[in-house]
Amino acid sequence: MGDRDGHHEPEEGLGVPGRAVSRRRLVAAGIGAALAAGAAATVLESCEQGGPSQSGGKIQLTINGKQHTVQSAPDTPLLYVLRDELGLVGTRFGCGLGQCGACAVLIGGKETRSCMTVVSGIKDEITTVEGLPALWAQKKGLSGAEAARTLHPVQQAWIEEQVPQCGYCQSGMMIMAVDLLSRHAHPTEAQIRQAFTDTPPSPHLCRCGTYDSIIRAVQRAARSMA
Amino acid sequence: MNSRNGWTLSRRDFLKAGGALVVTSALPASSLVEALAAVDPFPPLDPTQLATWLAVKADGTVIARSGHVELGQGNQTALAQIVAEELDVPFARVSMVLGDTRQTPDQGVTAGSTTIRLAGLQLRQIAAEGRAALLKLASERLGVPADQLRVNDGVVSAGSRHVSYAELVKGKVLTAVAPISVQNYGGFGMRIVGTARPKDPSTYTIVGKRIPRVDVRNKVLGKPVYVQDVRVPGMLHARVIHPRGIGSTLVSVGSPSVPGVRVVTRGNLVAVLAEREWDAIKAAQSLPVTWSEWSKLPSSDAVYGVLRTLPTRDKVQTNRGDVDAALRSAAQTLSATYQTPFENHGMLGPSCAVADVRSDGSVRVWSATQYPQGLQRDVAQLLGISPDRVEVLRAEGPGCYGRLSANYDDAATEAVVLSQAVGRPVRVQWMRADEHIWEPHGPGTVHDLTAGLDGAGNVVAWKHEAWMPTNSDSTELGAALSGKQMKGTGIGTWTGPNLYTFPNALDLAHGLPELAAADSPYGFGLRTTYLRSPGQYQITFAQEAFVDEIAARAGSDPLEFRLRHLTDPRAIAVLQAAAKAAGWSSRPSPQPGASARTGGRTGQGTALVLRDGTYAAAVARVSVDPATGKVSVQSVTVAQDAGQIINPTAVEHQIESAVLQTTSRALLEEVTFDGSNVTSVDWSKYPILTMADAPRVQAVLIDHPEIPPTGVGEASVNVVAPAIANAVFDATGVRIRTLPLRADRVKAALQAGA
Repeated sequence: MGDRDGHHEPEEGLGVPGRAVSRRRLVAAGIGAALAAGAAATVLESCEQGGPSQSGGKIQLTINGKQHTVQSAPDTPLLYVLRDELGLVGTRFGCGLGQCGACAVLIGGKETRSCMTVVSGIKDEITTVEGLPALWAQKKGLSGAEAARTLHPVQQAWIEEQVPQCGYCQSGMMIMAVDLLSRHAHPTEAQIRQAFTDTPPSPHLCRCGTYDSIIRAVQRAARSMA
Repeated sequence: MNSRNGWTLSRRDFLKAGGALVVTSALPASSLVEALAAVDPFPPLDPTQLATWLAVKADGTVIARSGHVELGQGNQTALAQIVAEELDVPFARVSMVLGDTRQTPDQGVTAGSTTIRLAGLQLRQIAAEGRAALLKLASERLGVPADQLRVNDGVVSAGSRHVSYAELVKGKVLTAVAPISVQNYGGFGMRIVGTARPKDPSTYTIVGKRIPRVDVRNKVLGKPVYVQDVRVPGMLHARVIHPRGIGSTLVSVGSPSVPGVRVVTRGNLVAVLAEREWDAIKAAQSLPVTWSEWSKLPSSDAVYGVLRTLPTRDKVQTNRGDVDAALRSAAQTLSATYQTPFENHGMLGPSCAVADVRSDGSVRVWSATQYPQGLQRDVAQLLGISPDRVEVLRAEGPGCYGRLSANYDDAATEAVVLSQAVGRPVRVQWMRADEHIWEPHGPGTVHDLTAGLDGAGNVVAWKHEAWMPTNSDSTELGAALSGKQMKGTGIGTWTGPNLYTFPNALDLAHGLPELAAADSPYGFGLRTTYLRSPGQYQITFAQEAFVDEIAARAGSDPLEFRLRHLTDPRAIAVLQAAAKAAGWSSRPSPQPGASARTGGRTGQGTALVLRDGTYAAAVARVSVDPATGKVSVQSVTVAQDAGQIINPTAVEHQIESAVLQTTSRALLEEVTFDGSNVTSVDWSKYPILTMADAPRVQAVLIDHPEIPPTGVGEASVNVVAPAIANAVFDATGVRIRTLPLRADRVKAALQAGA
């Protein structure tokens, strides 16, 4: 299968015409309504403290090692910017409420729910599932052809353990695993269970029943990253 | 539809794609649409023609087409294994085309664990016919009788002379040696009848092997693979504002507060459409919509009582001997009532579909449906056009477990209505509450059981009556809300055999209509549709827990008690295999030291089922915390016999899936509703299992290469909940007869039993 291993995703537009730049500061009511879950408040606050990093009404983001100037309205959750404007659809929409983890990305290396993180407040670098191979290549100093054919050890472990069934939650699961392994190089089974369950704002949910496979894959990734 | 001549094709898609190899999924979002559109040349859809099913390309690769779809169980891989095995080509050279109404034969809905036992066996026969046809061509080419030819990796040889499949087929339509006939095309009884004999399983080199799944890599790389990832040029993002109550009708709609957003109403279908998704979301949340009051549902607290009062259509599943007489003469009798709740399929991504109703009246739909041909017919009926004007291109979706198997795709039908209204492609994406409220749920059930024992503790009478709302709601919301009445909601019924040799036995289903359907303007009520092992899940919970109660009354080991009432050797074998692997302790339940006050020690419980040809038995080990009522499932061991095993890794993962998902259903899940609508509107109101509470799973596979394969997605679902409930009884001595075994319910039951 002639895949190009993820981290060189084209970022052309998605064929939606009439994508005008919106300079309107859209009403915050929309955000509040979307973020029905109580836990949303902390994320909103942190975003407000960060303040918008805008240039000429456009928002600058660093995603998977590349600079992007995005056109989305500043109150747009990062999830829709990634999926609709940048074509990074590996980050999935699951609930829009911070209750499931399907939309998780790394922001400044920390697992964050993109469905409830407003785009205009983000200062740190964003890593999506598509950027995991490059993240690993950078860490290991790989370049060129070697980097292009190397997956992140977490992704490799997910393949070797055949973790996904429907696969819809797995981008978020792998993001959580990368975050966990950056804090605990050799997590115990209990630490793995706890990380995927108790990390705010919610447990990472899988409906197909792959939790046991995920535990095995995290342990396998830990061994190969050692 | 297409040219009648096998390989020529006049479709613009083919011209546009230039006959490119189908490469699904390895492309960016906009290209997922191109990948789904691109097709190899394909002949007209005629299931009696080999070329409809199979193509050998110039490079020696093989394309096989199936109407079944990948739901995350590994269908695509398993079907390719079957085809590669029968044709004697390497696995990597076979690619499957699944669920595309333009080119895949109708093999019925992908549900009921039928992909292997029906679609797979149909493909096995087709591939055998294909091999025979290729051998005939080789025989002619090499001048050697077909029975003296050998095939290795797609190369036919006779002594030192050889010819490849690709060379044989070059420029020709692959034609069967003798005519193929198809019985019951598209139905559950579909059969391919031909003259070729499939291979002897003892010669298999591909079927039965742990071949990695072909769909895993793209999912791990975050590629666009799901219908949620489809983006079509000119597409608008839509959000539908669903009625307040299940039977509410539209009173008024105000203006959207978000500039540039368009409101569309068709009857009671209300939607906002926008160029940008976030604008559509905000507009949907703030749009003033008034709905009529509607409150014809019983509340979920009162529903079990109500189920007994509804009109029924009865079905006798088992009727042996004279149960009433046997009960009168029994040495002792016991009775119990069991209840199971309404449940969610709970797709992790809410429903989504894209539709393009074009100005020439033709329609293309992108959907994650479990039945593309079924959706094709529904869309055609909805629009009043011929099905051949509708193309359904199937993309993968979040796991659906039956949610898209009768209501083939609510979002797709909504998108069709909206696309027709605005003259542009429309993407409908439900929000979390839409899915939790409007998905067609698994139905709640009530069971009355009575048994009579003789003086030796053997069962002489068995009676199981079940009140079961429909599992077969096949309404499409886009049609119903926009004012088009199409299909009905059905009546509940019994599913699955009773394996026990009780001399006098009655299993009786009181089939019920959908709750409040008669009181709704839409023809549906609280929608209920097939949820992973529908009907049999509920039946098995009640039956296997009550069998445990009888064993306890008889003072018998629940495992030994079951074995004593069984004769089917495969049923006996799975029970014994599960017990052995789990280290079953042979003794009656509850265990010595069982205590409602302390929660006792770890409890063990077992259960058995036969589901559509597949035998499964489980042993669960649980501990119970009496202070909180929390049930911790430490491990579940499942032994399963599904005949011939196609891919052991995929089977093990299906068992793991069944155990974890059903542990979630058994411990946590319950749809709640008030008089108007569902109130468990998101994951906080409908919690499911988390990783912290996932049991360890041990799968024991019993392989019978000589027995035709049956399904592996559902059987083991049935045995998990009763095994857990039986283990709770073993630990505590308290029998809990209503699911889920939620902490508050368990705590209350322990306090009452202490």
